[in-house]
Amino acid sequence: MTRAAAAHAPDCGRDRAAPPDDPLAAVRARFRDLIVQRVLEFERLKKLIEAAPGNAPALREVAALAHKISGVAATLGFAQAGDLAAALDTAIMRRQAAGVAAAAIWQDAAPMLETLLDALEEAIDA
Amino acid sequence: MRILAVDDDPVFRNLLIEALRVQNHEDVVTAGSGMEALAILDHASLPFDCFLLDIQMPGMNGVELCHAIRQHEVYRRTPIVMITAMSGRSFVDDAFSAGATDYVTKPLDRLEFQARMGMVVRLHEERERLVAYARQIGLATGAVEMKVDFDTPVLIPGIQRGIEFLALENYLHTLGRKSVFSYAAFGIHITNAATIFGRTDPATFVAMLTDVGMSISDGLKTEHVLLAYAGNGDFVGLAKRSLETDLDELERFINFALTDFQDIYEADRLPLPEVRVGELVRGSIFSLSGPTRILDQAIRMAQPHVIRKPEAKLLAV
Repeated sequence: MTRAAAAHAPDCGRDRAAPPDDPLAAVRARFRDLIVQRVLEFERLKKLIEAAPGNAPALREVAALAHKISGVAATLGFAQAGDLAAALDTAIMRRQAAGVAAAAIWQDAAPMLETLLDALEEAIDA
Repeated sequence: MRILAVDDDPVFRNLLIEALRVQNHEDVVTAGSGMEALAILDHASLPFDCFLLDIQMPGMNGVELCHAIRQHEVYRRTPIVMITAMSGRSFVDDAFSAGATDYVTKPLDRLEFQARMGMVVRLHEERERLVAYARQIGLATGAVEMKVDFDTPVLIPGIQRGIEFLALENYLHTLGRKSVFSYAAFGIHITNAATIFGRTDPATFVAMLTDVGMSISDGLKTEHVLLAYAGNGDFVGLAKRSLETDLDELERFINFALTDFQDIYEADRLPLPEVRVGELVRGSIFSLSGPTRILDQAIRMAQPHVIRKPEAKLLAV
């Protein structure tokens, strides 16, 4: 599924039935639904930062979203998305704490975000 | 066991509920923020037996929430398990200083989480046992909790940077053997603790420990040290590898500070507590022993029979 298609398919991911004894099935389904929203949110923030590369608050929001994904993705079976989200969160927060300018952080963070978005798409399609 | 789980991410809250349900913990209440959690506490008809707090939350973070929960008398000793992403481990020191009992990392590892909750259950059961005993003999729970044995590692109330000994051990376990290398510990032994314990009631004994704990805390000034009472008249402090305070000077300071209480002890016909501070013990990266070995060694080094080496103040374990 593409990101554009994801925007119009909020119920995606529900078609694959989880094993009946899987206690995390409902949480996983909810996570997939939320991924769609978060992908759209990432895209919105990306546009904001690309329009004004020094937009530090938007960059912090990217880190906060990545942080949330990293906390649950691996536990729900999406290890790659979890690792990429954790790496993006850490890369932004550590460099912001070190006083690096938002524009410079974004240069490195942008490709990391793209990779994460690809992994999230795969998670939606899984 | 009644649990309050606090996390700003709704998916993680659901995940916690399911992970707890698998462990047969069905009575779980969740909150999406620190403020919501405090409101729930204010209106709870039954007290909670355990808290799970995310550290990194917008607004009031988990460390601030932990501190606020500890201000409630009823939750002074309730287990608080912090939850943090690996990137947030730098906040863990603050969490333990604020009164956390333990912590787990995100993403949740099923076995690790089960082990942590197992520890919480044991603490809860011990507390329930005390409450049942209190009912049986018709005393307030606080009075029973004061019935401490000499070797009981009690939480000394009102001491800055003071945490439970169990929490200090948990902290070291979660750091792991390699990271313990960057920490140092020192013991503070009350040389006449056994005499005082034998000549007074448990409540007065704990009051004496508070006097000593406050004097230690004053002596450490701005040092970032976690301090716990390990039982048997032994305090132990855990610091990052360097400590600016000279430990001989600390010993002199504590013993001098305790003279402020002389009149009180004389009135109670008790000897004034006297302390001996041991050498600084550093964790060794080559050590094969467990991470809490540094605490045992620090306590041992403060005992009266251990001769201090003036030229070699550091000991690696």
